[in-house]
Amino acid sequence: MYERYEIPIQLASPPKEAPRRFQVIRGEDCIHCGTCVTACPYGVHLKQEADARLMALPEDDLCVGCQRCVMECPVGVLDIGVHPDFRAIGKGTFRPRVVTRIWDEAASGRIPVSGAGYRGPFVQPGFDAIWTDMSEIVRPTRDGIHGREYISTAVDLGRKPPYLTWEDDEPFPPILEIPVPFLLNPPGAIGRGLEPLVARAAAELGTYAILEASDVRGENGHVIPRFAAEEEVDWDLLDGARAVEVDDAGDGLATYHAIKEARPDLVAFLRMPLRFDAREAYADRIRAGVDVLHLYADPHGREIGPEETRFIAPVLRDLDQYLVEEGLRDEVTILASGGVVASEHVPKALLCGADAVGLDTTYLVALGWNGNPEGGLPSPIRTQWGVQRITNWANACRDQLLEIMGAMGIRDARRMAGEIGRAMFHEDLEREFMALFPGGNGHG
Amino acid sequence: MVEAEPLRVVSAPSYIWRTVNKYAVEILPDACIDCGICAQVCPYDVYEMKPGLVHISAPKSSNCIGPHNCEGQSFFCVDNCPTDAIRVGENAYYEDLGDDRWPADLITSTWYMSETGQLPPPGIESRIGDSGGGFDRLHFVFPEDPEPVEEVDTSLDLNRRPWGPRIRTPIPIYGAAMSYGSVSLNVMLSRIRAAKAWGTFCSTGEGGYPEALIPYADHVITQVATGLFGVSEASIQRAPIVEIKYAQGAKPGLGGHLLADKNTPDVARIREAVEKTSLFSPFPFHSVYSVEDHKKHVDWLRSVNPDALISVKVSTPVDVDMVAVGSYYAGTNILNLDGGYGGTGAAPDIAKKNIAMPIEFAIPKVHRFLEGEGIRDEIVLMASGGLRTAYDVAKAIALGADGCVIGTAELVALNCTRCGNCERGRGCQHGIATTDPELVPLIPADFGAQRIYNMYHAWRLQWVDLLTRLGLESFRDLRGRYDLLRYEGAIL
Ligand code: SF4
Ligand code: SF4
Ligand code: SF4
Ligand code: SF4
Repeated sequence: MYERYEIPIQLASPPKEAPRRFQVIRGEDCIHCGTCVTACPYGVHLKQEADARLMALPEDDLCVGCQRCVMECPVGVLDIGVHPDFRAIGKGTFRPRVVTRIWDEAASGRIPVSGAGYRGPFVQPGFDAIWTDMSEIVRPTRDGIHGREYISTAVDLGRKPPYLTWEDDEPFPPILEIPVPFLLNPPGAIGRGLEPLVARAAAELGTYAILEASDVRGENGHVIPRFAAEEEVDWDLLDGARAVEVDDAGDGLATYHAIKEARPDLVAFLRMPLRFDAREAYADRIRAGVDVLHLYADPHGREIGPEETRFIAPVLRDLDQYLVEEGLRDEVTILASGGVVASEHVPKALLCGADAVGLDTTYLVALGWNGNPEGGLPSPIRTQWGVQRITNWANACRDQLLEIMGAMGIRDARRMAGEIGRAMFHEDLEREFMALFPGGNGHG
Repeated sequence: MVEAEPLRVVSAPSYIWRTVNKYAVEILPDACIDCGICAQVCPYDVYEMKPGLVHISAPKSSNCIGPHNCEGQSFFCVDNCPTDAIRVGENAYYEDLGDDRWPADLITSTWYMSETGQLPPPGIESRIGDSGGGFDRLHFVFPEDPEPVEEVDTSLDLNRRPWGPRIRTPIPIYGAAMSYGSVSLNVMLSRIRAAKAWGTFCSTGEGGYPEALIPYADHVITQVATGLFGVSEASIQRAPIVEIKYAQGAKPGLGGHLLADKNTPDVARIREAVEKTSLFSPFPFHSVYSVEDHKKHVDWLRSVNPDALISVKVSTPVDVDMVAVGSYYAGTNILNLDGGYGGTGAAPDIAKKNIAMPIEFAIPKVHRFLEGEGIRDEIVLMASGGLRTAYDVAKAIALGADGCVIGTAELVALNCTRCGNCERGRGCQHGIATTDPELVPLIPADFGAQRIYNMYHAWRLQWVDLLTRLGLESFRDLRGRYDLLRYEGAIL
């Protein structure tokens, strides 16, 4: 019997001091006529309660920037500008549109919807330079109505042997199924102390939180302890755990095999920095029987190590290609982290070759971080509110994944990994386009 | 050939006296002595001394070309005012209007064209936006001494099959689908009246065919989409063009959605649905799973109305070229490619940018593939989804389209500020994307029709100028002329 996976969502409003989008400027020459009171449908302009002859200060946080009041004020003293707080939001990966959308998703748990078409730049670096495919006539549906197929967002973590043997009594390798193709990474320096909250959010979602072993206090079965390079394995922490992560640096690989030897029931992740020139090392690890390769890029999705770094998406794509050629891709699970931030990044990372992604900065933004290195988290963060913000975001993300998969006609998230033919890279499209014009490259 | 109504540009100032302006012109009331000198010197009609009045009128800032362009000139208002009563400066919040695709200049230049029917004052960009890619990085290359052109023809043929009615529109565009409910009836009437005045067409969208449009039936494209809202034999038989919507660029692969608030009793009646419920158009057609099914679909409509041209609207997936060929073999007259950056009453933000390719890339892909198949000249290729200006239209044609379908620009003509609140609560605060009885009267249909009519008048001036400078007699000669374009590459 099909059991429907549902994430419980509930309104979790942002803190009152959250940055607002617009500022309403009312010049000194206001004649207090009250025209703007009736013009504004959102109650930004109101009369003073004590003295109805005078205007109260505008309630900026309610303004949606429609400019109606600007147009109707008889003496032209109103202006609507972008609020300075909004401009203070981070850059690059954490540009305002990305950050505010995560805030909206964390508040409502729903897919952000708006009117008036796309408003941003033609293309931006990173995941923004990828478009996903759609299919004009076939589509499964999330509800399986109209005799269609259901869409499943579940994926498996673990080793997938190419064939089964019955000769010896080797047990079937352990597999961890998660209902959404993402895990939560440790909160890092900005989110220090949030580990129990992150663990609870993971449990709520049915996925897993990877936490530094030193921060694990037996929270629940949804925590994956991570041992740093050279760290002594505390075996007690593995009681009740279903998976473990070991850093590959130094003697990490030996530790990895020691744990696998002692606890063959655990799905073991090997954590390595993402760099395309390390592909042979990855291949060796897969041949040596690693279950899950956790490849991490920096927070902006850049490779770690080489002088000229590339973005995680093309690296994953080329790596997928390489592992396919080596005949290794199907045996291992690739978990990718770093630079995967917004909802639309998740399906795009899968198409480039990840089986699942690890999220960190996303939930910090959901908890109120503005993506700016100088910005911090609001404090205190109530656990219940924080867990709700993260699960809300996760639900919105999953719903959007369903939309993208539905549009593509793909009904199983397991089949997303490495479907490169269903992704369009700006680089490729532009190269073809450029060639149309005389002189080809029109730069300069 | 569709007869056009007599054409005439009439000034259509907005109901509001102040729009958002690039420059702010202020007359200090205490200093002004109403001498009227400013009205005599400024060549841009910013100041007016109305006949019979003794006071200078409030300055019209939207006409000002900016003090930096006038300083040092003999006509500079500030220098000429005997009492130093004039202040001219930049509007500090001007750039906060609009967005990358529709920056402040494109919005205010569209307003200007819609009000006057003429090109905006110099210094206000009316051709390209700030998105840093696609049309905004694509430029025409003008020959040094172009072939002299006697008369420029901006018309478009909408049927290139050997059979069926011949339809030619005098301008290379028609109006995009906007359903009743997503916009008001006044807005629909504005658009269809302007289309009639220009001898072109306008699509109903998927919201049924309000009776008020029947007098304009010769110019109404009726849409058949997956929800089949308000689709009837009568509405199909009335239409010169029937449009089958498979997908919409702003939400490719997703269905349509009218929020419950906008589904008023009247909207529900025309859509033949229950009022105050959310109305979904599913995706895709539940009766079309193959090209063969698609052909049956086209045949069905043709049997209901053998005289109609059939248009098929699709999005831009990886295999958009194959989709185009399939549509050709199914017997369509018009293929409408709808790219991702187009308008919508409401769509998930994720769908607007991330699914399906931008129209700039899709047009040449399809044009060249159809050429290769030897069928290009039997099908009309219309482009839509993010075409904002007269120049965008011309570039789309140079990339390989025959003509374009315009939506958002028509709404900007009606005062849309691109604020993106169309789906919120009561809907658009400017009376455009709403059915709220208090907001709808903000755009009377006469005013709206004149504004849209004026905008296309200004666009046509730009088209004629452009084709003349390129040395071409018609848009037919511009199609697929990659040699006349230069692409700078997207800014990454
Ligand atoms: S811009 Fe619109 S929402 Fe903002 S204060 Fe003015 S009328 Fe109200
Ligand atoms: S409409 Fe203008 S003058 Fe009147 S109260 Fe509002 S800001 Fe003041
Ligand atoms: S600055 Fe120039 S355009 Fe503007 S009002 Fe003065 S004279 Fe006219
Ligand atoms: S709500 Fe804003 S974007 Fe939508 S039609 Fe109205 S003015 Fe335009």
